[in-house]
Amino acid sequence: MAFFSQAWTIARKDLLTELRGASTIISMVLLGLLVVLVFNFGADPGVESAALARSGVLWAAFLFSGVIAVGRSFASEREAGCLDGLLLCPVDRALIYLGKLIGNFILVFATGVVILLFFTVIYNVSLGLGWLGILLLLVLASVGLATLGTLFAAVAAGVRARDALLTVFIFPLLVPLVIAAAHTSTLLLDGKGLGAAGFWPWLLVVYDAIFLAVSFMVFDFVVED
Amino acid sequence: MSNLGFLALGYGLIWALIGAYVWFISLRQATLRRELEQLEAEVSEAARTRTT
Amino acid sequence: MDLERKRLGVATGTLVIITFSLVLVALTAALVLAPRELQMGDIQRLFYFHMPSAWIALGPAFTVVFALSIAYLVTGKLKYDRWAAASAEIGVIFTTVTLLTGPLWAKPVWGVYWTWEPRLTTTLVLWFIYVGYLLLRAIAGEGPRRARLSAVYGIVGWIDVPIVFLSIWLWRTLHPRLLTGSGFSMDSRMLAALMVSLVAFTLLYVCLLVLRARTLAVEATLSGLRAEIRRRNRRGGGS
Repeated sequence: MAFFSQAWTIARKDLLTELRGASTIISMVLLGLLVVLVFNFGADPGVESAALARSGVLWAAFLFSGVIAVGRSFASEREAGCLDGLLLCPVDRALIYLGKLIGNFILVFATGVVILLFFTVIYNVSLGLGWLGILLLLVLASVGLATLGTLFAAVAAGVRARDALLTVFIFPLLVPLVIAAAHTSTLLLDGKGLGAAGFWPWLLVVYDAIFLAVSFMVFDFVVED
Repeated sequence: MSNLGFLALGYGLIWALIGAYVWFISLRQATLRRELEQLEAEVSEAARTRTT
Repeated sequence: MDLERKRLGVATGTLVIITFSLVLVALTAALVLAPRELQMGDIQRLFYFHMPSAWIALGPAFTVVFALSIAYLVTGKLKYDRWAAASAEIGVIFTTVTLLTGPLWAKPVWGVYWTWEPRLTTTLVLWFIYVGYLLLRAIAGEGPRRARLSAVYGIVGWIDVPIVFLSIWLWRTLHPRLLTGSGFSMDSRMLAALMVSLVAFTLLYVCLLVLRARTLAVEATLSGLRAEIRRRNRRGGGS
């Protein structure tokens, strides 16, 4: 159990830093909302767009803002030299990764919820029980994004044009996540239950599991000595 | 474009790409070789002047 | 500083000659010897190079990157990183060829350039991953640091590609109206031409790999030499 409390300490430190600075969270949320807004200007205001189109917008907003958040989590550390301090701690590398992962997950998920709320207002969505489904979906997607994002944020940290680059690296890898999430949310927005989504949520679960495992195995090599 | 036009374009592109890459490799190799020779000349020159 | 002075070693030279000949044979087989397809016509001949390119890009090239990435992380030998980089470069070339020939074949046959066909779409995603890999190498500096980062990306990317294919395939089977009949019947002569092309392209991949890895090795030696010289100068001069 000490394992988790240590990881949680790291996560808490990250989150508190973010909350105090607030600029990351604000820019994340704003970006997400803006994406939803901008995508809609291409559409006909009078016509209700198809559920799949709406899903696409939701996940695009989620991805863009999520990647920024994750990118920032390593950047500020590099700049302040904190990462070296962290590495000097007699703590297992995996713990550092877990801590950052948990912190990033919370950040990404929270932003996702805000985007979702905005989304439901803009699109006049009334879901009822479907809310549980979409929240579960958001959790799964956040895990996936946070996992790969944390791993590659360490990779891209310290490099100029970091955010744009991180997006370029990560997006192709996130394709299965996007497809699965978009399809499930389309069904949920159409009023069908999670059961109708069949295998898609399971694909998300498998995806998350695989990359959680891989990233833990590999994180050691990413952070420099 | 007729069918054959697409075919010609396709084949042309394939071999243009591969050819360009081969050319790139050989160009690189030549440049590196020149640099290497230059470097070796410098080093032996420096070694000679140091011993005098 | 005892480097190989010959233009090309005997083994490499032979490889190049054999590859070149086999490619010519494959070209002849594809364009002349293979019969004309009944429904599609001559455009089908693109298939003899489209399919092997796709196979090389998705199969050997990327898998070599994956295997060598692991090898590098385990052993720390930069040699593996260099060969991985070479394989990735060649992988991009073959992926690009696949992505260009695919639409060129699709347009006259089905009337559209792009059909979201699972293999082609996965190849597109693969292209982005490859290019990401090379971009990463361009910005990450050089030496062990770059090697480490590339290796991680190479490993994660390779594991992801089957999942990408699966998700795209599942996505496609949900919307059957997009499915186009991609089949055409192959007789034995077509199969033979395809096999020759496959072997030719595999050899081409190996050949390019060897040539490119050589250049990268020379580059590494050069920067090592320069560093050594700088060090000696600093010790010799100064004080």
